[in-house]
Amino acid sequence: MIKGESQVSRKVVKEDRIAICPQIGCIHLEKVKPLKFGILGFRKYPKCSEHKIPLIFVEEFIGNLFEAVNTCIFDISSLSPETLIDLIKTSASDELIKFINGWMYCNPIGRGAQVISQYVDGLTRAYIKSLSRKQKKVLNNEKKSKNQYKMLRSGLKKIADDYTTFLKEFREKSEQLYDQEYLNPFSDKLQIILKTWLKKYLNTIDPIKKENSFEDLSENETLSLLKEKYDKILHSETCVILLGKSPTVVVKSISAFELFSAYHEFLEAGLCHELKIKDLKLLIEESEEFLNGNEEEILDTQKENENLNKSINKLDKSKESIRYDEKIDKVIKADMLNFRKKVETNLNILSTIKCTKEQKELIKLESQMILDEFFLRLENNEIKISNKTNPKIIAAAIIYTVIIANETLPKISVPELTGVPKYSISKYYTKYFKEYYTNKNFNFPPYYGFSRIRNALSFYIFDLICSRKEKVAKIAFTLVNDILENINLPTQLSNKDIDLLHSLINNHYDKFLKYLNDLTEVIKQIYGSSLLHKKIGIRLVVKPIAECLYKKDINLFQSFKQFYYSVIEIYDSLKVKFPNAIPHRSKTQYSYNKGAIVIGSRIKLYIIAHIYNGIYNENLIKCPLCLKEGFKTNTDISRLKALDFHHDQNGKEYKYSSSALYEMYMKNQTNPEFLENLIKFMESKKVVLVCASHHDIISGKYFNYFRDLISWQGLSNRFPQNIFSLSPELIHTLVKISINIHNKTKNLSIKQKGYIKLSLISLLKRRYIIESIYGDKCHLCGEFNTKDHLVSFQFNHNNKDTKTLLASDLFKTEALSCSEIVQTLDQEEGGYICANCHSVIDNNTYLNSLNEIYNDKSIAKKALTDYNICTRNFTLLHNKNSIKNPLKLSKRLSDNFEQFLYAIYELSKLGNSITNISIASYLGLSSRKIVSSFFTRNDYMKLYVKINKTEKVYKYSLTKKGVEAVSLMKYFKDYYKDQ
Amino acid sequence: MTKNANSQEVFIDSYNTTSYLEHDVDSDFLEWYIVEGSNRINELSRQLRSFLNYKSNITLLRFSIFKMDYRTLKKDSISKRVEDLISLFTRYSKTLVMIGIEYESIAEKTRNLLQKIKIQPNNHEISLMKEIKHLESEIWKNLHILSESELNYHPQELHTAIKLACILSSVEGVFYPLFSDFYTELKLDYLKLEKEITELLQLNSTEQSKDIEIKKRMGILE
Repeated sequence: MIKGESQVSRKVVKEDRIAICPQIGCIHLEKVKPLKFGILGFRKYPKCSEHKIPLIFVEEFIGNLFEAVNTCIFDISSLSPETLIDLIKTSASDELIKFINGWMYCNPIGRGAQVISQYVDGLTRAYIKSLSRKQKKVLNNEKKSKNQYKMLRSGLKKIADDYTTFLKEFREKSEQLYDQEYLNPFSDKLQIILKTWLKKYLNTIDPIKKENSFEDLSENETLSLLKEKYDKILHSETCVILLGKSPTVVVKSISAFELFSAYHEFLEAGLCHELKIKDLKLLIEESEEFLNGNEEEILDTQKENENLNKSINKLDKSKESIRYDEKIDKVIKADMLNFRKKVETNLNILSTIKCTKEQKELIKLESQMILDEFFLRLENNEIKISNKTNPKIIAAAIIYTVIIANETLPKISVPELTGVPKYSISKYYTKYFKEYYTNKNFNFPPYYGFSRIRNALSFYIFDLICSRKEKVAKIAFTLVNDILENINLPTQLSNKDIDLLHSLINNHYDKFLKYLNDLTEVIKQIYGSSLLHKKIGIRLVVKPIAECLYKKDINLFQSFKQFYYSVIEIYDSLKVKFPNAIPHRSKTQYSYNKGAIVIGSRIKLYIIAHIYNGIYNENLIKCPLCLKEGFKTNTDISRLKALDFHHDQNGKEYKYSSSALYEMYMKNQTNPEFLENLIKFMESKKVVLVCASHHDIISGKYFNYFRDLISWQGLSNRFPQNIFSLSPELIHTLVKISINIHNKTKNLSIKQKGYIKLSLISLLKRRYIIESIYGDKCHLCGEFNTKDHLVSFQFNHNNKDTKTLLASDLFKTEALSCSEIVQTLDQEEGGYICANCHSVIDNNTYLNSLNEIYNDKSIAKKALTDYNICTRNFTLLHNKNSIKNPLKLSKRLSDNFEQFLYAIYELSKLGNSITNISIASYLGLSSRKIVSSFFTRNDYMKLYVKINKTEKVYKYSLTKKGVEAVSLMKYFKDYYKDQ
Repeated sequence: MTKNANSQEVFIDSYNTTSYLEHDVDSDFLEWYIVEGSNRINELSRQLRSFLNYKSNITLLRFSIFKMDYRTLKKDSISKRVEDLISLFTRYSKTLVMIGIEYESIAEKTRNLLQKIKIQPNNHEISLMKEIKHLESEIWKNLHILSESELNYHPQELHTAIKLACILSSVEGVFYPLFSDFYTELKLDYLKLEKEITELLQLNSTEQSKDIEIKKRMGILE
């Protein structure tokens, strides 16, 4: 690998340079000094003391190294191995192109690109380290000539350029070899194929690794064998990455130095060829042709040959046996020959099988061999046939035997092919061929009627799980022991059944154990889910259980459909045997709406009854806050839908409405601990039970902050007793003052304060509208009122089909006045009621499910009556002429309203006449004109301020309303100051 | 180079702007090496190594992404390191903003600023530029360390790391014009990785976002 021109010659070295042993992986690195005495110098060509090969300069070596890396990564051997391609062609042909694309994508990393960087990193560090202190000093001194150590510096530049080129080529070459669009994850099936292939492939690497007979081979042959080994390791690595696992093969089996050194040698020996686009195109074209059906005959030739040889050997043996036998009676022989001809004729059906030519040949050959053996045993009286034996069934059984005894053959439905019923084929196979040709694809259940035995075993397992006598993981082993010792077994098992189980244990121990473990898991899951469904009191749907188990690879050796039916059969047999432990089964899932209502409500009832050790159950399940306020209608369990779970801010992301609970159930219906875990979690979040109305009130943050202002309660008699008798300007000002002074809101941004003001004004609008139309209480229950419970009032649309908007949206702007809102709501056909009554009146599906929700029919009846009363008494909102606009501002309100009133109030205390000048001076305004223009522009001020004009001087004093307004402003300022 | 003040003197010693701005490659290289060549060549090989590490992580991620729900992964040292990285980057970008450099034209503006400092040295800008260089090397250091972790199990963190590497590699070329070719290639490589991981995450989030709320609940219930 050493190139002539790169050999280090001390003759030509003009200054110190760094040279390295070209053996990749060798750490020999030395500084080469110029010869002091010209031709008389010693060690003209410095060599590595270990490898005895001349050194080369590092910068040139780096170039060689990258050449080796590129050779390794982009060698033609980086294409996927043919054995793997063939396997995918036969087993997952639809993913072939995707696989090739994925393989080429993973190749650079799979072939060790990542480890090269570690080596390069180490190498450059070594280079830098080898500089002497003097060199570094000289190099760092600006005053010295730039030409000093020129070689050393240009060496470093060469390294930098090599890095750049490598990065560029690496990207460009990699990109050409795959298509980003088709890089999709592989199916489970393809992953299994890759896993199986990799397992076998890794086994083929070791023998080569241990090979010691290289001595007998030529150098090139040795290198070829070595390359084969390295290619296999790198193929395995790529395959590992395709399976989504971190690459380990290269790291563990082969070092970066060794790998790239080897590839450099392969390159030198002419064993490497760069992978070209055309190579890849060719492979893809071949694959596409195969997918189009033009290449039907591709087969794993290696395996095929093995099978053929095996068959030929067996046939030879049979023929020898036939020649050996000379005792056959001639008459019988004639009948036999006749019968044989008929069987052979029926074997011709093979020509119609859809498989490759080689596979057909193989089946034909093996069938002939089995046929020979069959007649040999017949002639030896080892087996017997009757006159009624059907040659067609024998032929079908022979074909069946060939197919099931050979793993490489495709699955062909023999009953479909021959028209012979499956049970007849199975019967003949068991009778004549099973002993000699075992089923390589043996699956449980071993025969059609095995479900009876399975159900009997299920009782045994269910008993152990219920009684907790045995750990679940050990049940299968215990059962195997009991079968072998014939003890503790269910009475349903006959001696014949036990014999069959014995033979399964003896012949297929691993599979049988897996089957029993699967069965135990199925029953454990049924038991757990039954407990859960019994608690909730609903029917169980089996399908999610089967799906959940199947995902965990628990399948009783069946496809999902078969497995699902098996789980149903097991469930039904357990239900018959243990009717109290197993709930009824439902064939279909509820629709989402129905499920959310029935199952969600039943879970809610269970939680209410059990949370905090049943604290709510003691009060007959009632909202504690309603109970405190002495409400009757709203505390009844028949209003279950109105019961909510309230949690503090920390747990807000979890909701516990019926639909949310139903969604949780859907995800956890196979988890027996679901309810207990949920309750524990809710307890940890300090969740409490409240009705929907009180929930709204608790959650109405700003309503609670400013409840007294909104409800206008607790004010002395000197103030007006109705907030709506005040002017809109004063109401808005009071709201603003309260927000600005309240401890919780005073430090918020202007934008946030604006939002809060809008919320409070909208609450006042809602209050005005409800009180103007319905009075101050919920017109259905008569318990919740507009002063203490304003936020719990909701607009109910009587007819969901005519609903065009959300009533709350009308309040989100100050632009709409109360009369305009009422006018719009009038067309929506609905009315205001409290949240609890809303939940009663709102849902018809709920009403139709009452009997499924409540076990106690009297409660269901009560809920129905409640609904009927609510719907009967519900009054639509109608537009009334009396609706005014108590909150509509005539023009935009500024802070001046408050400031001017205060100024006049304070100045009036001093007893002086109040003029434009005195107000401007009090407020620190630059001009008195500002004062006069304010009063001129804002007409509404006349209500609060009296203006006298004498001798061109304006004099101001507060009216009675003005004094009242200032008092109110002061009152709320003081009131909310300490809140 | 004129040395106006002590602070500028320090800056000029450590950050020889002359070498950044000259364009004669051969002499430039020698000039550059005098200052910090030995460190930079190490940095180049380290950059190569980190890039290949990130590339490997994405390759692994692509074929394992659907096997796990990364949202359920707990915070570990990797997440913590990425958080540190983000806070460093926040400082870095704030400092850039202080000099008037915006994200969109970060490389170009940095180049102009270096030229400006060379012609009209300014104490404030010099110290800010020193801060930028310091932060940049800290970020790279973290990115190198992070590249050695199993980031394929932390796709969001991997995404962040690659995004940062992408931005920084465009600026590195400005600071070290002699390696601009190397950093240009590196930037192209990182851009490609960034595109790839963005697509992967979108694909994955489409699969997972459907029932994320339910999964949140299930996380504690299962």
